[in-house]
Amino acid sequence: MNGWHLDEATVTRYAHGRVTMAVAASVEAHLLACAPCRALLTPAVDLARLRSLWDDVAERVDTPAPGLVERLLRLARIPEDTSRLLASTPSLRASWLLALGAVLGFAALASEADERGTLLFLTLAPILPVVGVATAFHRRLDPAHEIGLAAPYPAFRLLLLRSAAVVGVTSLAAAGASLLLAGPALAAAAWLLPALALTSLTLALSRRFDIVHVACGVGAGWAAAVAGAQIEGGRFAAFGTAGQLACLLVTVASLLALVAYRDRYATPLGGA
Amino acid sequence: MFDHDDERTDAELLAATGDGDRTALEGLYVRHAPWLLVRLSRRCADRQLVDEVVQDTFVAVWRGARRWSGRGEVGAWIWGIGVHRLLDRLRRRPPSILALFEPSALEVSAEEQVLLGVQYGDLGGALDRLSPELRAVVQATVLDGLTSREAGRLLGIPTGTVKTRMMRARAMLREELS
Repeated sequence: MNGWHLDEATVTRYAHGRVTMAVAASVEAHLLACAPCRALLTPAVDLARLRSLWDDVAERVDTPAPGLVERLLRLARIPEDTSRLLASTPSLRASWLLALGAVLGFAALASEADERGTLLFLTLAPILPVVGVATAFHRRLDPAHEIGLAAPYPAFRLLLLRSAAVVGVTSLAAAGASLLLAGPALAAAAWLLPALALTSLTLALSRRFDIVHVACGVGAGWAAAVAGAQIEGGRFAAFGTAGQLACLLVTVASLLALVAYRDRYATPLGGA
Repeated sequence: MFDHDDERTDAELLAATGDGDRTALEGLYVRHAPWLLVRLSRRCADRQLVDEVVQDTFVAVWRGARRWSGRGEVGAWIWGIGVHRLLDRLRRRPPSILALFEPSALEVSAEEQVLLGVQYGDLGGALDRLSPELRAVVQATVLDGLTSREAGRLLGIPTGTVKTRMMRARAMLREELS
Protein backbone atom coordinates (compact mmCIF):
# COMPACT_ATOMS: atom_id res chain seq x y z
CA MET A 1 0.00 0.00 0.00
CA ASN A 2 0.97 3.63 0.07
CA GLY A 3 2.08 3.80 3.68
CA TRP A 4 -1.33 4.95 4.82
CA HIS A 5 -2.63 2.67 7.58
CA LEU A 6 -5.30 2.63 10.20
CA ASP A 7 -4.55 3.27 13.85
CA GLU A 8 -6.05 1.23 16.63
CA ALA A 9 -8.26 4.05 17.89
CA THR A 10 -9.94 4.51 14.49
CA VAL A 11 -10.42 0.76 14.07
CA THR A 12 -12.00 0.46 17.51
CA ARG A 13 -14.32 3.41 16.88
CA TYR A 14 -15.25 1.89 13.51
CA ALA A 15 -15.98 -1.51 15.08
CA HIS A 16 -18.34 0.13 17.56
CA GLY A 17 -20.09 2.20 14.92
CA ARG A 18 -18.77 5.56 16.09
CA VAL A 19 -17.30 6.99 12.90
CA THR A 20 -18.81 9.17 10.20
CA MET A 21 -19.82 7.83 6.84
CA ALA A 22 -16.73 9.12 5.05
CA VAL A 23 -14.33 7.62 7.59
CA ALA A 24 -16.14 4.29 7.59
CA ALA A 25 -15.98 4.21 3.80
CA SER A 26 -12.22 4.63 3.80
CA VAL A 27 -11.77 2.14 6.63
CA GLU A 28 -13.74 -0.51 4.77
CA ALA A 29 -11.97 0.09 1.47
CA HIS A 30 -8.62 -0.12 3.20
CA LEU A 31 -9.51 -3.28 5.15
CA LEU A 32 -10.25 -5.17 1.94
CA ALA A 33 -6.71 -4.60 0.74
CA CYS A 34 -4.62 -4.60 3.93
CA ALA A 35 -4.12 -7.72 6.02
CA PRO A 36 -2.27 -6.09 8.97
CA CYS A 37 -5.11 -3.59 9.44
CA ARG A 38 -7.67 -6.40 9.25
CA ALA A 39 -5.85 -8.10 12.11
CA LEU A 40 -6.25 -4.91 14.18
CA LEU A 41 -10.00 -5.44 14.01
CA THR A 42 -9.98 -8.93 15.56
CA PRO A 43 -9.64 -7.82 19.22
CA ALA A 44 -12.67 -5.57 18.78
CA VAL A 45 -14.93 -8.55 18.03
CA ASP A 46 -16.40 -10.94 20.58
CA LEU A 47 -14.18 -14.03 20.36
CA ALA A 48 -16.75 -16.34 21.92
CA ARG A 49 -19.22 -15.33 19.23
CA LEU A 50 -16.65 -15.97 16.47
CA ARG A 51 -15.78 -19.37 17.95
CA SER A 52 -19.38 -20.49 18.22
CA LEU A 53 -20.01 -19.32 14.64
CA TRP A 54 -17.00 -21.32 13.48
CA ASP A 55 -18.38 -24.42 15.22
CA ASP A 56 -21.59 -24.02 13.24
CA VAL A 57 -19.70 -23.48 9.99
CA ALA A 58 -17.56 -26.58 10.67
CA GLU A 59 -20.65 -28.63 11.38
CA ARG A 60 -22.36 -27.53 8.18
CA VAL A 61 -19.20 -28.15 6.15
CA ASP A 62 -18.79 -31.65 7.60
CA THR A 63 -22.38 -32.73 7.12
CA PRO A 64 -22.65 -34.69 3.87
CA ALA A 65 -25.08 -33.15 1.42
CA PRO A 66 -28.25 -35.24 1.19
CA GLY A 67 -28.86 -36.97 -2.13
CA LEU A 68 -31.68 -36.26 -4.54
CA VAL A 69 -34.03 -38.94 -3.16
CA GLU A 70 -33.51 -37.73 0.39
CA ARG A 71 -34.16 -34.10 -0.53
CA LEU A 72 -37.36 -35.05 -2.36
CA LEU A 73 -38.53 -37.05 0.64
CA ARG A 74 -37.84 -34.10 2.94
CA LEU A 75 -39.77 -31.83 0.62
CA ALA A 76 -42.67 -34.23 1.07
CA ARG A 77 -42.46 -33.48 4.82
CA ILE A 78 -41.08 -36.89 5.71
CA PRO A 79 -38.98 -36.70 8.91
CA GLU A 80 -35.21 -36.51 8.52
CA ASP A 81 -34.38 -39.90 10.07
CA THR A 82 -37.02 -41.71 8.05
CA SER A 83 -35.95 -40.14 4.77
CA ARG A 84 -32.30 -41.03 5.47
CA LEU A 85 -33.31 -44.65 6.15
CA LEU A 86 -35.33 -44.83 2.97
CA ALA A 87 -32.69 -43.14 0.85
CA SER A 88 -30.04 -45.59 2.04
CA THR A 89 -32.16 -48.60 1.04
CA PRO A 90 -30.09 -50.48 -1.56
CA SER A 91 -33.11 -51.38 -3.67
CA LEU A 92 -34.21 -47.77 -4.01
CA ARG A 93 -31.00 -46.70 -5.74
CA ALA A 94 -31.03 -45.35 -9.26
CA SER A 95 -29.13 -48.39 -10.64
CA TRP A 96 -31.59 -50.76 -9.04
CA LEU A 97 -34.60 -48.83 -10.30
CA LEU A 98 -33.15 -48.71 -13.80
CA ALA A 99 -32.71 -52.49 -13.77
CA LEU A 100 -36.27 -52.86 -12.51
CA GLY A 101 -37.56 -50.65 -15.30
CA ALA A 102 -35.62 -52.65 -17.90
CA VAL A 103 -36.97 -56.00 -16.67
CA LEU A 104 -40.54 -54.73 -16.62
CA GLY A 105 -40.18 -53.07 -19.99
CA PHE A 106 -38.91 -56.23 -21.68
CA ALA A 107 -41.59 -58.33 -20.00
CA ALA A 108 -44.27 -55.92 -21.17
CA LEU A 109 -42.82 -56.03 -24.69
CA ALA A 110 -42.85 -59.83 -24.60
CA SER A 111 -46.49 -59.84 -23.60
CA GLU A 112 -47.27 -57.84 -26.72
CA ALA A 113 -46.14 -60.84 -28.75
CA ASP A 114 -48.44 -63.55 -27.46
CA GLU A 115 -50.14 -65.02 -24.40
CA ARG A 116 -46.96 -66.74 -23.26
CA GLY A 117 -45.37 -63.31 -22.97
CA THR A 118 -48.27 -62.06 -20.86
CA LEU A 119 -47.85 -65.07 -18.58
CA LEU A 120 -44.15 -64.27 -18.27
CA PHE A 121 -44.98 -60.72 -17.22
CA LEU A 122 -47.59 -61.87 -14.70
CA THR A 123 -45.17 -64.38 -13.19
CA LEU A 124 -42.28 -61.93 -13.04
CA ALA A 125 -44.08 -58.88 -11.66
CA PRO A 126 -44.84 -60.39 -8.20
CA ILE A 127 -41.26 -61.65 -7.81
CA LEU A 128 -39.64 -58.24 -8.33
CA PRO A 129 -40.80 -56.73 -5.01
CA VAL A 130 -39.61 -59.86 -3.21
CA VAL A 131 -36.14 -59.46 -4.68
CA GLY A 132 -36.25 -55.75 -3.80
CA VAL A 133 -37.16 -56.43 -0.18
CA ALA A 134 -34.51 -59.13 0.16
CA THR A 135 -31.90 -56.76 -1.24
CA ALA A 136 -33.00 -54.01 1.12
CA PHE A 137 -31.93 -56.04 4.15
CA HIS A 138 -29.03 -58.12 2.96
CA ARG A 139 -25.90 -57.56 4.98
CA ARG A 140 -23.60 -57.27 1.98
CA LEU A 141 -25.81 -54.85 0.08
CA ASP A 142 -27.14 -52.56 2.79
CA PRO A 143 -24.48 -49.93 3.57
CA ALA A 144 -26.16 -49.20 6.89
CA HIS A 145 -26.44 -52.84 7.89
CA GLU A 146 -23.93 -52.81 10.74
CA ILE A 147 -25.20 -49.46 11.98
CA GLY A 148 -28.67 -50.99 11.95
CA LEU A 149 -27.47 -53.85 14.16
CA ALA A 150 -26.08 -51.45 16.73
CA ALA A 151 -28.62 -48.63 16.55
CA PRO A 152 -31.36 -48.43 19.17
CA TYR A 153 -34.00 -48.32 16.46
CA PRO A 154 -36.95 -50.74 16.39
CA ALA A 155 -36.03 -53.39 13.83
CA PHE A 156 -39.65 -54.11 13.07
CA ARG A 157 -40.33 -50.49 12.24
CA LEU A 158 -37.32 -50.46 9.91
CA LEU A 159 -38.58 -53.65 8.30
CA LEU A 160 -42.04 -52.25 7.62
CA LEU A 161 -40.76 -48.87 6.54
CA ARG A 162 -38.33 -50.14 3.95
CA SER A 163 -40.54 -52.95 2.73
CA ALA A 164 -43.44 -50.57 2.24
CA ALA A 165 -41.23 -48.17 0.28
CA VAL A 166 -39.76 -50.93 -1.89
CA VAL A 167 -43.09 -52.61 -2.54
CA GLY A 168 -44.68 -49.23 -3.27
CA VAL A 169 -42.03 -48.20 -5.79
CA THR A 170 -41.89 -51.63 -7.44
CA SER A 171 -45.66 -51.89 -7.67
CA LEU A 172 -45.93 -48.43 -9.19
CA ALA A 173 -43.39 -49.43 -11.84
CA ALA A 174 -45.20 -52.70 -12.52
CA ALA A 175 -48.52 -50.90 -12.70
CA GLY A 176 -47.01 -48.49 -15.22
CA ALA A 177 -45.69 -51.39 -17.27
CA SER A 178 -48.98 -53.25 -17.16
CA LEU A 179 -50.67 -50.29 -18.82
CA LEU A 180 -48.61 -51.22 -21.87
CA LEU A 181 -50.07 -54.72 -21.89
CA ALA A 182 -52.22 -55.50 -24.89
CA GLY A 183 -53.45 -58.83 -23.50
CA PRO A 184 -56.64 -59.62 -21.62
CA ALA A 185 -57.94 -57.04 -19.16
CA LEU A 186 -57.11 -59.20 -16.15
CA ALA A 187 -53.42 -58.87 -16.90
CA ALA A 188 -53.39 -55.26 -15.79
CA ALA A 189 -54.09 -56.08 -12.14
CA ALA A 190 -53.76 -59.83 -11.74
CA TRP A 191 -50.17 -59.61 -10.47
CA LEU A 192 -51.01 -57.29 -7.58
CA LEU A 193 -52.35 -59.78 -5.01
CA PRO A 194 -49.64 -62.36 -5.80
CA ALA A 195 -47.05 -59.60 -5.28
CA LEU A 196 -48.45 -58.77 -1.85
CA ALA A 197 -48.69 -62.45 -0.94
CA LEU A 198 -45.10 -63.27 -1.93
CA THR A 199 -43.66 -60.19 -0.21
CA SER A 200 -45.49 -60.68 3.07
CA LEU A 201 -44.68 -64.40 3.04
CA THR A 202 -41.00 -63.59 2.53
CA LEU A 203 -41.01 -61.15 5.43
CA ALA A 204 -42.85 -63.57 7.71
CA LEU A 205 -40.44 -66.44 6.94
CA SER A 206 -37.38 -64.25 7.28
CA ARG A 207 -37.85 -64.30 11.03
CA ARG A 208 -36.36 -67.80 10.99
CA PHE A 209 -34.25 -67.98 7.83
CA ASP A 210 -31.85 -65.81 5.90
CA ILE A 211 -33.95 -63.40 3.87
CA VAL A 212 -32.11 -64.07 0.59
CA HIS A 213 -32.69 -67.81 0.92
CA VAL A 214 -36.33 -67.16 1.74
CA ALA A 215 -36.69 -64.88 -1.27
CA CYS A 216 -35.18 -67.50 -3.61
CA GLY A 217 -37.41 -70.20 -2.18
CA VAL A 218 -40.56 -68.12 -2.39
CA GLY A 219 -39.76 -67.03 -5.95
CA ALA A 220 -39.10 -70.61 -7.05
CA GLY A 221 -42.23 -71.84 -5.31
CA TRP A 222 -44.29 -69.20 -7.05
CA ALA A 223 -42.90 -70.10 -10.48
CA ALA A 224 -43.61 -73.78 -9.80
CA ALA A 225 -47.17 -72.98 -8.70
CA VAL A 226 -47.81 -70.97 -11.87
CA ALA A 227 -46.41 -73.77 -14.03
CA GLY A 228 -48.37 -76.41 -12.15
CA ALA A 229 -51.63 -74.51 -12.44
CA GLN A 230 -50.98 -74.04 -16.13
CA ILE A 231 -50.79 -77.81 -16.67
CA GLU A 232 -53.85 -78.44 -14.52
CA GLY A 233 -56.27 -75.82 -15.69
CA GLY A 234 -55.13 -73.78 -18.67
CA ARG A 235 -52.71 -70.93 -19.26
CA PHE A 236 -53.85 -68.32 -16.70
CA ALA A 237 -55.24 -70.73 -14.10
CA ALA A 238 -52.95 -69.37 -11.36
CA PHE A 239 -54.45 -65.92 -11.82
CA GLY A 240 -58.08 -67.06 -11.77
CA THR A 241 -60.48 -66.69 -8.87
CA ALA A 242 -59.06 -69.64 -6.95
CA GLY A 243 -55.50 -68.38 -7.40
CA GLN A 244 -56.39 -64.86 -6.26
CA LEU A 245 -58.19 -66.22 -3.21
CA ALA A 246 -55.20 -68.34 -2.30
CA CYS A 247 -52.98 -65.28 -2.59
CA LEU A 248 -55.29 -63.30 -0.37
CA LEU A 249 -55.19 -66.06 2.25
CA VAL A 250 -51.40 -66.19 2.16
CA THR A 251 -51.22 -62.40 2.51
CA VAL A 252 -53.54 -62.28 5.50
CA ALA A 253 -51.85 -65.22 7.22
CA SER A 254 -48.37 -63.77 6.67
CA LEU A 255 -49.39 -60.34 7.94
CA LEU A 256 -50.95 -61.88 11.02
CA ALA A 257 -47.78 -63.86 11.65
CA LEU A 258 -45.69 -60.71 11.16
CA VAL A 259 -47.71 -58.73 13.67
CA ALA A 260 -47.94 -61.59 16.15
CA TYR A 261 -44.16 -62.06 16.22
CA ARG A 262 -43.18 -58.41 15.79
CA ASP A 263 -41.08 -58.47 18.97
CA ARG A 264 -38.91 -61.28 17.64
CA TYR A 265 -37.41 -59.04 14.97
CA ALA A 266 -34.83 -57.89 17.47
CA THR A 267 -32.13 -57.42 14.86
CA PRO A 268 -32.49 -56.32 11.27
CA LEU A 269 -32.96 -59.11 8.80
CA GLY A 270 -30.32 -60.97 6.88
CA GLY A 271 -27.86 -60.60 9.73
CA ALA A 272 -28.08 -64.14 10.99
CA MET B 1 -7.83 -20.92 17.13
CA PHE B 2 -7.36 -17.16 17.03
CA ASP B 3 -3.94 -17.17 18.69
CA HIS B 4 -1.92 -18.44 15.73
CA ASP B 5 -1.99 -17.47 12.10
CA ASP B 6 -1.56 -19.76 9.12
CA GLU B 7 1.58 -18.84 7.20
CA ARG B 8 0.05 -19.29 3.78
CA THR B 9 -1.26 -16.30 1.80
CA ASP B 10 -4.99 -15.77 1.30
CA ALA B 11 -4.80 -17.02 -2.27
CA GLU B 12 -2.96 -20.19 -1.19
CA LEU B 13 -5.47 -20.79 1.60
CA LEU B 14 -8.34 -20.39 -0.83
CA ALA B 15 -6.76 -22.81 -3.32
CA ALA B 16 -6.23 -25.35 -0.52
CA THR B 17 -9.83 -24.85 0.60
CA GLY B 18 -10.92 -25.71 -2.92
CA ASP B 19 -9.01 -28.99 -2.57
CA GLY B 20 -10.96 -29.81 0.57
CA ASP B 21 -8.46 -28.66 3.21
CA ARG B 22 -10.46 -27.83 6.33
CA THR B 23 -7.57 -26.13 8.15
CA ALA B 24 -7.25 -23.74 5.19
CA LEU B 25 -10.90 -22.75 5.58
CA GLU B 26 -10.24 -22.22 9.27
CA GLY B 27 -7.29 -20.00 8.39
CA LEU B 28 -9.48 -17.89 6.12
CA TYR B 29 -12.12 -17.70 8.82
CA VAL B 30 -9.62 -16.47 11.41
CA ARG B 31 -8.50 -13.72 9.06
CA HIS B 32 -11.74 -12.67 7.45
CA ALA B 33 -14.63 -13.47 9.78
CA PRO B 34 -13.96 -10.58 12.23
CA TRP B 35 -14.10 -7.74 9.73
CA LEU B 36 -16.93 -9.38 7.81
CA LEU B 37 -18.95 -9.61 11.02
CA VAL B 38 -18.33 -5.94 11.83
CA ARG B 39 -19.04 -4.76 8.31
CA LEU B 40 -22.28 -6.73 8.06
CA SER B 41 -23.34 -5.52 11.51
CA ARG B 42 -23.11 -1.96 10.21
CA ARG B 43 -25.67 -2.82 7.55
CA CYS B 44 -28.04 -4.96 9.51
CA ALA B 45 -28.85 -4.47 13.17
CA ASP B 46 -30.33 -7.95 13.57
CA ARG B 47 -27.52 -9.81 15.35
CA GLN B 48 -28.89 -13.26 14.69
CA LEU B 49 -29.30 -12.56 11.00
CA VAL B 50 -25.72 -11.30 10.77
CA ASP B 51 -24.53 -14.51 12.45
CA GLU B 52 -26.42 -16.59 9.90
CA VAL B 53 -24.98 -14.57 7.02
CA VAL B 54 -21.40 -15.02 8.28
CA GLN B 55 -22.01 -18.77 8.50
CA ASP B 56 -23.61 -18.88 5.06
CA THR B 57 -20.68 -16.95 3.62
CA PHE B 58 -18.00 -19.33 4.88
CA VAL B 59 -20.02 -22.39 3.91
CA ALA B 60 -20.29 -20.80 0.43
CA VAL B 61 -16.52 -20.14 0.44
CA TRP B 62 -15.98 -23.82 1.24
CA ARG B 63 -18.24 -25.01 -1.55
CA GLY B 64 -17.28 -22.39 -4.10
CA ALA B 65 -13.57 -21.94 -3.46
CA ARG B 66 -12.78 -23.37 -6.89
CA ARG B 67 -14.85 -20.68 -8.54
CA TRP B 68 -12.55 -17.88 -7.42
CA SER B 69 -11.00 -16.37 -10.52
CA GLY B 70 -7.66 -15.76 -8.84
CA ARG B 71 -7.75 -12.06 -9.64
CA GLY B 72 -8.15 -9.31 -7.08
CA GLU B 73 -8.33 -9.49 -3.31
CA VAL B 74 -9.69 -12.58 -1.57
CA GLY B 75 -11.25 -10.21 0.96
CA ALA B 76 -13.25 -8.43 -1.74
CA TRP B 77 -14.44 -11.77 -3.08
CA ILE B 78 -15.60 -12.82 0.39
CA TRP B 79 -17.36 -9.49 0.90
CA GLY B 80 -19.16 -9.94 -2.43
CA ILE B 81 -20.48 -13.31 -1.24
CA GLY B 82 -21.36 -11.90 2.18
CA VAL B 83 -23.37 -8.92 0.95
CA HIS B 84 -25.38 -11.08 -1.46
CA ARG B 85 -26.05 -13.65 1.25
CA LEU B 86 -27.32 -10.78 3.39
CA LEU B 87 -29.67 -9.73 0.59
CA ASP B 88 -30.86 -13.35 0.20
CA ARG B 89 -31.62 -13.63 3.90
CA LEU B 90 -33.38 -10.27 3.94
CA ARG B 91 -35.57 -11.27 1.01
CA ARG B 92 -36.68 -14.38 2.85
CA ARG B 93 -37.01 -12.73 6.24
CA PRO B 94 -37.27 -8.95 6.51
CA PRO B 95 -35.36 -7.75 9.59
CA SER B 96 -37.34 -6.86 12.66
CA ILE B 97 -35.25 -3.76 13.15
CA LEU B 98 -34.56 -1.34 10.34
CA ALA B 99 -31.11 -1.71 8.86
CA LEU B 100 -28.57 0.51 10.45
CA PHE B 101 -26.82 2.47 7.78
CA GLU B 102 -23.20 3.37 7.65
CA PRO B 103 -20.82 3.63 4.75
CA SER B 104 -18.60 1.15 3.00
CA ALA B 105 -16.86 0.59 -0.30
CA LEU B 106 -16.53 -2.45 -2.49
CA GLU B 107 -13.48 -1.27 -4.35
CA VAL B 108 -11.50 1.90 -4.60
CA SER B 109 -14.01 3.59 -6.85
CA ALA B 110 -14.00 7.02 -8.41
CA GLU B 111 -16.57 8.14 -5.88
CA GLU B 112 -14.31 7.07 -3.09
CA GLN B 113 -11.32 8.87 -4.47
CA VAL B 114 -13.53 11.92 -4.22
CA LEU B 115 -14.40 11.06 -0.62
CA LEU B 116 -10.81 10.50 0.39
CA GLY B 117 -9.43 13.50 -1.44
CA VAL B 118 -9.76 17.01 -0.15
CA GLN B 119 -9.71 18.73 -3.51
CA TYR B 120 -13.50 18.94 -3.72
CA GLY B 121 -14.02 20.44 -0.35
CA ASP B 122 -15.97 18.83 2.44
CA LEU B 123 -17.77 15.98 0.66
CA GLY B 124 -17.54 13.76 3.74
CA GLY B 125 -19.21 16.44 5.82
CA ALA B 126 -21.81 17.03 3.12
CA LEU B 127 -22.64 13.32 3.10
CA ASP B 128 -22.99 13.26 6.86
CA ARG B 129 -25.43 16.18 6.68
CA LEU B 130 -27.79 14.25 4.43
CA SER B 131 -30.88 12.83 6.11
CA PRO B 132 -30.44 9.19 7.23
CA GLU B 133 -32.80 7.97 4.48
CA LEU B 134 -30.87 9.67 1.68
CA ARG B 135 -27.51 8.65 3.18
CA ALA B 136 -28.62 5.02 3.31
CA VAL B 137 -29.43 5.08 -0.39
CA VAL B 138 -26.11 6.73 -1.31
CA GLN B 139 -24.27 4.15 0.72
CA ALA B 140 -26.04 1.15 -0.75
CA THR B 141 -25.83 2.23 -4.39
CA VAL B 142 -22.66 4.29 -4.67
CA LEU B 143 -20.46 2.77 -1.98
CA ASP B 144 -21.66 -0.82 -1.77
CA GLY B 145 -22.14 -0.99 -5.53
CA LEU B 146 -25.60 -2.54 -5.35
CA THR B 147 -28.21 -2.10 -8.07
CA SER B 148 -31.32 -0.03 -7.28
CA ARG B 149 -33.27 -3.24 -6.86
CA GLU B 150 -30.77 -4.82 -4.48
CA ALA B 151 -30.52 -1.60 -2.51
CA GLY B 152 -34.30 -1.50 -2.20
CA ARG B 153 -34.29 -5.04 -0.88
CA LEU B 154 -31.58 -4.25 1.65
CA LEU B 155 -33.39 -1.13 2.87
CA GLY B 156 -36.87 -2.55 2.65
CA ILE B 157 -38.16 0.12 0.23
CA PRO B 158 -39.42 -0.06 -3.37
CA THR B 159 -36.95 0.28 -6.26
CA GLY B 160 -38.61 3.48 -7.43
CA THR B 161 -38.08 5.07 -4.02
CA VAL B 162 -34.39 4.20 -4.17
CA LYS B 163 -34.12 6.02 -7.49
CA THR B 164 -35.95 9.19 -6.40
CA ARG B 165 -34.00 9.36 -3.14
CA MET B 166 -30.76 8.96 -5.05
CA MET B 167 -31.75 11.86 -7.33
CA ARG B 168 -32.57 14.05 -4.37
CA ALA B 169 -29.30 13.15 -2.61
CA ARG B 170 -27.33 13.96 -5.75
CA ALA B 171 -29.05 17.34 -6.10
CA MET B 172 -28.38 18.21 -2.47
CA LEU B 173 -24.71 17.22 -2.65
CA ARG B 174 -24.26 19.24 -5.83
CA GLU B 175 -25.75 22.27 -4.15
CA GLU B 176 -23.60 21.90 -1.02
CA LEU B 177 -20.37 21.45 -2.92
CA SER B 178 -20.78 24.09 -5.60
